[in-house]
Amino acid sequence: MAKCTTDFSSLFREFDRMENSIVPICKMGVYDGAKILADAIKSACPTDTGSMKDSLGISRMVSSDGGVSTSIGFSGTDEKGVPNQLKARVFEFGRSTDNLKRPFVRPAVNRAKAAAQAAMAATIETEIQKTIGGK
Amino acid sequence: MQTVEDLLAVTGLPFARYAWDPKPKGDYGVIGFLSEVSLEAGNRTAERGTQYYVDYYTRSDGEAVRAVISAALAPLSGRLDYTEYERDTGYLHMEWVVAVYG
Repeated sequence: MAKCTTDFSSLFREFDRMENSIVPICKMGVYDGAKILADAIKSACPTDTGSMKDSLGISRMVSSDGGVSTSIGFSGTDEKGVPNQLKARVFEFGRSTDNLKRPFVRPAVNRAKAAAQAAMAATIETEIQKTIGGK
Repeated sequence: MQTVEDLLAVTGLPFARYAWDPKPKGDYGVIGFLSEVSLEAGNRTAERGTQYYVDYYTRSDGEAVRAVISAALAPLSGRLDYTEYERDTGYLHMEWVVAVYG
């Protein structure tokens, strides 16, 4: 009777290495995707909004429930004390009595979504290869 | 192919394309262009389409209107994307997003 033995110890070492690295790698990927979306939104911002454009930022990466996520949003106030988040909302969704509706966030996200997904995948794949290859 | 206007016509509610009233007296709706969109299949663009927003401003509690408009936009997979009560005007603002492909 033939007997076959295999040493899985190196494979398990790779799994251990990946277990410790996968969340930081995913954070790098999500950041790269978020940066593409944020740049697209920033370039689509209405020009007459003062500090709103400069207040756009990416929040800290959050890891929970097996996923990694972040938020892109506006912060702070303009020179008149109006919250930039409020201004962005009025431009994006409009109001009954002000003809200011000029959606710019959702069109920018639609345009940049595929590039952001590709960048995330590329970063994650590259970093995984580095981790596995860097014994 | 059914347009957004065709679908909303059955509601009997007042909708206009891009027409905005600076001093609205009653409830009103606006249909406008939102974005170009594409459906991806694998790494390829399978179909291109146009996304529209449908705004409706009402001083009613909005429940009945929301149900009627949501039902009318169902064939285009219309989804309610935003609601806000405007304290200063008394209007409830609802916005749906629909996409037309082909």
